[in-house]
Amino acid sequence: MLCLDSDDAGIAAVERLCSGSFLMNAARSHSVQFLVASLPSGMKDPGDFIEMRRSKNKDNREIAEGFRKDVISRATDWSDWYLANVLDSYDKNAAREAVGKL
Amino acid sequence: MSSNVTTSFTLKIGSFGSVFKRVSEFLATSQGPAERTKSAVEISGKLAKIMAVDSNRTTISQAAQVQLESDLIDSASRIANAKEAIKRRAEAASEELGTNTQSLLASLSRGGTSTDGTDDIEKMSRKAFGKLAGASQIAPSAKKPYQRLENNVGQPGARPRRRIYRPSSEKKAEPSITPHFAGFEFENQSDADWLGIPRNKVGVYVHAK
Repeated sequence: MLCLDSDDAGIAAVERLCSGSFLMNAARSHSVQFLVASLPSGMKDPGDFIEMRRSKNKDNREIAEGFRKDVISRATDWSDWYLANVLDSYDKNAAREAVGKL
Repeated sequence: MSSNVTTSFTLKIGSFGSVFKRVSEFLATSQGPAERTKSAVEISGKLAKIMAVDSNRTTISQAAQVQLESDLIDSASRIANAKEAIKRRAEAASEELGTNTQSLLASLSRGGTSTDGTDDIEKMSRKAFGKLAGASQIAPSAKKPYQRLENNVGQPGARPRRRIYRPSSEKKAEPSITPHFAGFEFENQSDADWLGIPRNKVGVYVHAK
């Protein structure tokens, strides 16, 4: 389960992992499944999730249960996550720039 | 569509070409040919929606989607083939470098500068070289010249091995040296008898026959 920070650096790190052949080779050779867990919007890392729940007077058991429900159970397969991320990166206003030789 | 992924262009992040290229690279890296084709069919549907937005339309035609799918598979396959070729070339270069380095180190350890080991036989005995280099390294260089020539047959520039014709009659027992004396009887059976030299001293004076 990959649950890196939800800021640009964290997302870029997961993208870098997915775009290489490391995850695919590891999944094939060890017969394991890699999932990417995304934190709810407004939370940078799991620490923020705990602090936010604790500020609402939740105890540890409730926080763990909430994390399992809101983060872990919504994790997606790494290849699906990466492709969805790539497709979401489409920006209609981004024009193609031709630089260099034609 | 294919022009969007031409490498001579710098694609702006977020453009359709950039998305298409990233998807192609992902399919090329992470999946085999069969899985790649299957995934391309699913992804091309999502790309078609993006393409429709990119061209200010609500939908794109079925033919355009099929073309998109074909381009995606083609692009991913070309990237995969290029990566495979580079990988093979790197492996070949690594093996070549390893062999040369091993040969050079072996040569240097013997005090020589040659890397092919052809003059090892002249420099030291086979036994000494075998002790130094080990059995696996002595094999190619310790062969006799004709054995090396035999191994070179079939390689470019090598001289073909000449076959020596040996008639079967050569293998038969040698005939008598003096067949023309057959049937004659001589008073002196040998030259020593004729010269009057005792038989037990023949070796001292002359070798009979």
